[in-house]
Amino acid sequence: MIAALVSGMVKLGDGFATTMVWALGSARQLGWFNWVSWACAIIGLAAAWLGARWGLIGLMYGVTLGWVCRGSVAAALAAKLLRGWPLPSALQAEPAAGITP
Amino acid sequence: MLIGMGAVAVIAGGADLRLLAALVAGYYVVASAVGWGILAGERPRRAVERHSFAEGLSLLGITAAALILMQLERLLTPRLLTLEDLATFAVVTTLVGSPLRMLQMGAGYTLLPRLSAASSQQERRELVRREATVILSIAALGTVAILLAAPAIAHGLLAGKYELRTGL
Repeated sequence: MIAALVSGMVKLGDGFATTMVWALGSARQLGWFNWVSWACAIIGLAAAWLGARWGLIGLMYGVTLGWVCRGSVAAALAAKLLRGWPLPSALQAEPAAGITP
Repeated sequence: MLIGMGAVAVIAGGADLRLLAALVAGYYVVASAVGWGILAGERPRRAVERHSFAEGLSLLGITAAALILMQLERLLTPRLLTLEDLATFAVVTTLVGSPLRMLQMGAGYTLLPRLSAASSQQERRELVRREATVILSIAALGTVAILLAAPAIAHGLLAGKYELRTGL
């Protein structure tokens, strides 16, 4: 049950970070995160395919890697949005609605 | 609704697939009718900011990618492993993953509107810190409870049909 718990906790973290990006991100940042999400889904697919050599546990950890990938990117972006740190020029956009400096 | 489904299944003498499917579909119809009814009864608010089509597409893509990742194990297990593994995965996910999934959904639903409504960075940081503390505490307690209770629940409910290894 450890793999299922690890997977559940990682999904929980991903959900939290993604919600922050969803709430605070601009249209451009959401568009960029959309591509990241698909890339992470492909990473999860590939890792699960490889992990299946070690049975169900390997497959579950492979998919979890996809979630870790997406959650890490979402957390990094959310942290920058929350703290007002400078973003790479490709991601810079108008401030999210409602923010007062 | 779930209690009703269980009761009907017991009264009917088993879990007929069509009956359960009809009950689940009925649940969604009733829930959406109630939701739309509540929305229809509300007074119109002031005009809200319009979202762009591109933004909507991005949100759709983010959700779709998450859904695919969510179902990836179920899609890959029968192809790469066995149907027994698929059944074991379903049981483990139901017992262990469901409580964390509920927490994840609840956190998402409650955090999003409050975070959007917060008027300053400071307020947002405070909100996120508070929510993260609560969620982490509940998740930690839940994890311990799941680890302690899941084997007994599995034994009682599944009558020893599945072997749930600790590593799973």
